[in-house]
Amino acid sequence: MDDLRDRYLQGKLSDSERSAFEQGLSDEERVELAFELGIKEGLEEGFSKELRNKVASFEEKKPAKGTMKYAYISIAASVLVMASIVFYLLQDEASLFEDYYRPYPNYELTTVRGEEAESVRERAYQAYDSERYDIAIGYFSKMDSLSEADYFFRGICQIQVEDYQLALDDFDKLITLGNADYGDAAKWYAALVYLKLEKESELLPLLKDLSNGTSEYAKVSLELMNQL
Amino acid sequence: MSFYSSEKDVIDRIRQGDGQAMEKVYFRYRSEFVRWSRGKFGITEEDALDHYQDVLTIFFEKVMNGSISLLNSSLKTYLFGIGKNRVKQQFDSKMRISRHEEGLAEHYRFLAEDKGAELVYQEAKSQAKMVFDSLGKGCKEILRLFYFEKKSMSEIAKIMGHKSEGVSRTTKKRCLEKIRTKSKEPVPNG
Repeated sequence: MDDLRDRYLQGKLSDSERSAFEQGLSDEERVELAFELGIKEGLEEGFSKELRNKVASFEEKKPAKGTMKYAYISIAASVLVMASIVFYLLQDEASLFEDYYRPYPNYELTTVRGEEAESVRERAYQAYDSERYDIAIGYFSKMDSLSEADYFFRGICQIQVEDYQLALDDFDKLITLGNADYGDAAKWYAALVYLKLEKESELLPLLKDLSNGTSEYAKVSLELMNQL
Repeated sequence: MSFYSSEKDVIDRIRQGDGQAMEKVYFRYRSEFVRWSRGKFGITEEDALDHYQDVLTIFFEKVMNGSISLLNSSLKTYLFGIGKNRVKQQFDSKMRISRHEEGLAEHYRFLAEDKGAELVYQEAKSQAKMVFDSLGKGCKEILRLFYFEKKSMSEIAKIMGHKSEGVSRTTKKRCLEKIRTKSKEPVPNG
């Protein structure tokens, strides 16, 4: 009886089983069941809200795009007044890169820590997750063919090992494709590489393009442009 | 083609409450869903993101309570399918009902026929909502496993480390009584 009641409460009975169960209840049992159904419904709403909040909290872990606080901007401005223009250009762009750049989290392929990866691709992403970027590049380069995502993540690895031109080569492949997976992300990271290399003539068109778009990089691109 | 070596593996990990697997699924389709729903339905980015989070909550909930163990379509097709319906509901005020109200009358027919039982049900629901945040960790966990994840008592006994299914059943009963008692406690001032 307990099992049947559990299965009723969990919605695991068929229509006919449910009707038969309800019909077999005494008045007292009906009231007790109504009470527990109410508790169940109320709690389910609470658990569902908790899960919804957890899902919403993932937004806070979105690929980091550092933001400069107004106070920081004010301090930087004061410093800039005292610094030479050349010093400013050289130092500030390097500092902006540090503010905005974070390696993109791997949401592409799940790897389980401690478990041996089966394919070269899995090994590449496992190395990426472990921040062994040079090893990841090695695995990516061993692959017979690279997906759009693979080019993107190899590009990030190249930034990490400071092979900026190779990073740009990988991002350019996605950018020229037009509507590629990771296309907007590739533009953003290419822009950051140009920021690092102090190539404003290449950097600005990318930021302008992103800021006119609808991707999650639109706002931050505008913000970065305003700081340049 | 799945983006993971096995979508089944991902579903299994979510079923076990693996937050990292949930997060990966979340970001895998986030941008594409927002772009797609904005383009298709002309909604704002904020609304699109809101719908996306609803969709993922529904998906995770179904995985956790065992309604989904394997997908007939790709995960992307499945999520965008739910998303399409969710966004359409936004435009249909008649369909703006809580997910937990859906199918209620159909499932618990005796409540519709018995006014007294219906009243008890409504009161208990309010009580549960009222005391939800103040429930102890142990009670919350056992009730979550039973009502939300729809685990059997023998599974719950294993998860909670109880000696037997009977112990879990008694613990759950005590927790229900606590809710009943707590809801009758006076609300502190201030």
